Amino acid sequence: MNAGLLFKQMLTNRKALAGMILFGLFVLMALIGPWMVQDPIEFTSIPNQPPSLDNWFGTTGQGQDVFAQTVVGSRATLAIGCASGFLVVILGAVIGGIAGYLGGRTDDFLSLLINIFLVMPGLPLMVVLAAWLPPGPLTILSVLVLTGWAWHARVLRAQTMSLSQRDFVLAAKVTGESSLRIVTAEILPNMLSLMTSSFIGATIYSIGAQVGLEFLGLGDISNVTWGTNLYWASNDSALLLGSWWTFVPTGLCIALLGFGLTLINFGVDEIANPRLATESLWVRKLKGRATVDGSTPVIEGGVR
Amino acid sequence: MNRSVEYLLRRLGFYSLAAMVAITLNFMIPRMMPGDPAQIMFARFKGEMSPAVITAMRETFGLTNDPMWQQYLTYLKHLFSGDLGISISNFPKPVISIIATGLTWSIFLAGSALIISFILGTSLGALAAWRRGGILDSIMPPLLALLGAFPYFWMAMLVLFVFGFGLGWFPLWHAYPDGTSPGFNSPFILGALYHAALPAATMVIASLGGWMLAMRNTMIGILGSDYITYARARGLTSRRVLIRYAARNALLPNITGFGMALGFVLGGALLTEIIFSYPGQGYLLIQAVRAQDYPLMQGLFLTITLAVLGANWFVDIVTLLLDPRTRR
Amino acid sequence: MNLLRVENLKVDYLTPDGVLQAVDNVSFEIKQGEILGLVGESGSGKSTAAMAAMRILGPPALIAGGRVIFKERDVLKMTAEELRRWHWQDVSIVMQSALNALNPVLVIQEHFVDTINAHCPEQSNGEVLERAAKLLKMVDIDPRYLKSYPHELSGGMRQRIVIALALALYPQLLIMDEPTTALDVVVEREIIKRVLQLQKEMGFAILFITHDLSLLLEFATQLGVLYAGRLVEIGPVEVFRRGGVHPYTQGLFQAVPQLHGAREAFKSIPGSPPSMKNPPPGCRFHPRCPLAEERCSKEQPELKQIAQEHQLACHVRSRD
Repeated sequence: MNAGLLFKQMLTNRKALAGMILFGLFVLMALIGPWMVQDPIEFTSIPNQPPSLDNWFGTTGQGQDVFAQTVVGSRATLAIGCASGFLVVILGAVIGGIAGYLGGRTDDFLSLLINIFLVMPGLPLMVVLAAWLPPGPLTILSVLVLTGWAWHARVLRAQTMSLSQRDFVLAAKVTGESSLRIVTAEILPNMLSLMTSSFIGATIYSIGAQVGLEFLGLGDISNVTWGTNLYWASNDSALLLGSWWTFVPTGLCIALLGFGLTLINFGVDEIANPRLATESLWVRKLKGRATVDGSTPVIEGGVR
Repeated sequence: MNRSVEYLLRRLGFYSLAAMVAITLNFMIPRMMPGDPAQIMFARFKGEMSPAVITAMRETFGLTNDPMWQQYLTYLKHLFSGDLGISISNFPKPVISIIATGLTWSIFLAGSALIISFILGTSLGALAAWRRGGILDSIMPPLLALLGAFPYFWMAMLVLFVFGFGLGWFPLWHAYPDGTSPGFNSPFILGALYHAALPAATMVIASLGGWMLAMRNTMIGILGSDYITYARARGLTSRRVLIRYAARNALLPNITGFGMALGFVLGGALLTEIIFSYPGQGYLLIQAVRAQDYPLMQGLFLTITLAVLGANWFVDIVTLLLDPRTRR
Repeated sequence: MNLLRVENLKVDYLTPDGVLQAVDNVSFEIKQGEILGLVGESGSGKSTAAMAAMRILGPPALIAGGRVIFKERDVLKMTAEELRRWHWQDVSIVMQSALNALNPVLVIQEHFVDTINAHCPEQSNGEVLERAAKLLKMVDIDPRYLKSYPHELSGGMRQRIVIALALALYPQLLIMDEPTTALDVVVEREIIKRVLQLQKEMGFAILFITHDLSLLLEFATQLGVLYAGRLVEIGPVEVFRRGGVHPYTQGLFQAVPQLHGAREAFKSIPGSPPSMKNPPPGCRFHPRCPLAEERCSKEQPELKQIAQEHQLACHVRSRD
């Protein structure tokens, strides 16, 4: 399956399409939004004002505009999320791919490494790393990549292993194709949908973890991101003062973005796994007529 | 040797290795960073601590002028005798004693929330797969996927805001009521449960969708297998097929998944504790970050890692008991 | 007397590419104590037809038409509970892969307990275990294997156990769906010999599904040949011992019929079975048929009586 075909199928899958529209809206917001709103760090108004015509989402405990902060925050959060998602999958594909393709001792060693990183709890490790590194987006990015790659390496290793046992790869090996060519021409194209869903999963994880780290105060708190928005909301005692508008918009945005990405992944899974597509098809077509006891439904004349 | 024992020992060996990697990372991270680790670590101590205490702390972390391997050995020696250094934010309490009290609360809160969420999620997932196209199957997965997309701590903020600050139904912070003394007495136990209810509910809501979806998908796969068709063909009651043949078998891969997701879910649990000012590991973590209390931070990383590894080994034992195939 | 009568059974599969007619208008009858063999290539719909008639084939398969009558009872109108009771007390099945048929995390004994308890809840645990041991002895398996897990047993042993399980409630009809495909010839022979002995003793009827025509010739009383979801020829086994009449049946004997005196031996039928997504019009076999005429590609041949109990669906041969 090539990238164009996958994209075309994603456009015809209802879940993937809905997810892509949601994701697209946020990308648009991150790209052009910051130019459309006022300065998010300027102290424009009285602190802790509820939503009004002047400040659509109210003001922060410092008197900044929450709407502007929400819009501007999307840019850094989305950029780091996607970049980290991308790097995680690349790292996972390289390590998992080498392990799965070469097998033997290399695989034993790399699998051990993958498994060790898998059982290591991510957040405490991220905290220790981020605390020692100078605060900033680069620190967040590297910490996310370092703790996030193992899961994808595991998944992609398994896929590479099963692919390299397939006839067409074995045939290429026998005819003396170079390993590089086999990997790029035979194996990678067959991993496209898996890598796509890995990328989306990694991006979801990266956004969540990033927001969590920044919320702890481990990011650069002078930047405007969704994570620092929540950090300041908590720092300014939003709960105690009842200024719910300082954390609700950002949280909703994070959730909607994550939900959109999850929907895309549901769709990609259905495309890559025809069994799932068959399942959702008959569930839709048979509606209530399928029997819980698993017996063959009887529908005179069949269904269209 | 018995194969089950051999399997468990092999897993134990793996977890020991993982623990050694964590311990070594703990040693390496400060040394790989820009700047002098000792300077950074004790920056806050200046003027407050006697030189004798500083020297003792240097020893603990191996921050001596010896060659690297000797520093490592010094660090290991202190570590294995239970010396994790002295907490800066709780000076002069040793890190190990601070963590010990926090650990109990964390295990109680995160442990019970995780288990409730796993049992509830897998049951819902099994039922959703069983009644394909039913309400549970069509509405719950997207709804829970949406709920799961909220950051744990944000969900905690909202829940605390509404049910704690707004409605006043639940306590706002801490793990047990003031005036009760920890021990085996009913005011304390009931109070502790009352304090844990809201944070635990938050964690359950945020993580439920993941377990449900995983179980639903494994169940769908298993429901298509021959032994389910064959069990139904033999005229077994639906209940029996569901519980003994489908759900039981689908549970096995999900228990393994439970072990692997443990570290991830725990991260969310730690952040939830922070919102509720719950005196567990998470609350200590933010305290450490705010005060730049490096010894406490690193101690927390180590103990949390060890707890997760231990839990994983426990999961291995459970799998072994439930799945005869691993006993081969 | 008829035990099972299947009339014009249609089974559809719902696939993302559309509805696939896996079984199209298949009819057959089995009398008490008789052995009906259904033969065809993989994908011909033989297993689908049998499993749908028993109604154990879940979605995406569905029955789109026809009737299934078991001793005057309409199987397609049974409630879930009636169906559950009908299963195994009256009709049981031995599936293709015995390894996949048994739950890997339950010992053999629990399979027997679950089965017997589902139908005779009044039996005590001791009685059930005694019965399980007796059933295992019937298929020459030592009862100590009741405590074994499926993966601890060989393929042949598992298949015997599944047969013992199928006979646990003394059914009147036993469906055997390629029961020996995964086994080697020696084990296959032993198992079939044992089943036939048991059939003589207990008097149940067998619906035997296989792709191995020569095997069926040895013991079947009636035989039906399926091609691409349709029955092309059905009749007493003697007809087939003489080589059958339908060109496809004859092809299964690994030789093409003689045409205009020219003799040509074939290893197998040229070409491959049609895609069920869009089967050829007319007679589904016509693209591979050595006798095909113009009419065969246009008009679908119906199953017609050509002799006592012998039915055929072929334009060319029913004219001759």
